[in-house]
Amino acid sequence: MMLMVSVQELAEAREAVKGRADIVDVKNLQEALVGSNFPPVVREVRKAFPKKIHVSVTLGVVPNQPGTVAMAVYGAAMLKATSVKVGFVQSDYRMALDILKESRRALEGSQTKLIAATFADSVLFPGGIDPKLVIKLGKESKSDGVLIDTLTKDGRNLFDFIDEPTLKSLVLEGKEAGMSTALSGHLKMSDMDALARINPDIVGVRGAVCTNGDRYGGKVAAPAVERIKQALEQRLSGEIDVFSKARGTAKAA
Amino acid sequence: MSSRRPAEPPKLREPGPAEGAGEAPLRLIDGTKKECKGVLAVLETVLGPMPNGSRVRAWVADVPSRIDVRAWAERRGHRIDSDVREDGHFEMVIVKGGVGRGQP
Repeated sequence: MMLMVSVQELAEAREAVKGRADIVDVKNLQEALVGSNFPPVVREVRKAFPKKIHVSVTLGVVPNQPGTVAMAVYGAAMLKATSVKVGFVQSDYRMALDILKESRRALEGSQTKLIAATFADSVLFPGGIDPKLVIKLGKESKSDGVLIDTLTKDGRNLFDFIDEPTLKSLVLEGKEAGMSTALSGHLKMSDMDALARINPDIVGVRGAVCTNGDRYGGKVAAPAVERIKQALEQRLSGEIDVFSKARGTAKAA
Repeated sequence: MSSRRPAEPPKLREPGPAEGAGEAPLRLIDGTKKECKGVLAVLETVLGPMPNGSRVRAWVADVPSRIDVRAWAERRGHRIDSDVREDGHFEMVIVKGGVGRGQP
């Protein structure tokens, strides 16, 4: 399982890597909560680290304009991003699929991976696409991976919108389709047990690794990243047994 | 009384002579590398075109992935021929379609 940390600038990316993040996800919280950052920022971050540190680019919630999105995806490839995330909220399935197919075409000949993203809380938005469709979208568009995130940053997180068994099932389906699977959305230290049981390929965080736990006002801090990394490692190695805990909970319930 | 250490996972069966002289070594799927795509995605891709009864060796990095591979194998009708803890990873031998070696 890889740890992905969302960053807004090079200084934060350095903190994330110092804390042993595997992926730095460059985004811009000033634009629509999960918007795109500027090309020079992505270029600077990409240049600062070896290839083994993945640099992903988020396009956030994309408009229902396949050409515009494909051009942005192409830009991410030109910046040598490891992956580019294309997210949907108020798009119907057909539109989302068209956008992803055009994005796939825009990436021909590049090493940049295409990640289809939906938001677990899209039910809060009129006409919001069912987030569980991300697997079907990923498969049909031949995306390299899928991500389920959240938009709401009001304290609720991924698990408030999709329960653990459903997430587990989605992750398995994505893996069986040959895609990478990522989960994100205001994840906290207390979610690490469930995340280890679900076992996505990538876990994404920001607030949990920011000073004061503040994803907006705070900055990514290496010690906090290291704490999350260690927590994941303890669960992956079996040092902390998350599976018998779950059985115990089930019995008690 | 078992001499096995408590932390060691159950050893289902020794890999057997398949890896011995006269037979091609099993294809290794190394799921311990830091890649976005996990071992299940790779196993699906590799095993897909292989005939039933084919065997692959998979290195699995951690406990949850090992549990995933076992659940996946059961769902897909594959058989885990061996499952042992090696240096920092699990080594599993998987038989496609649950058919034993040398059978159709």
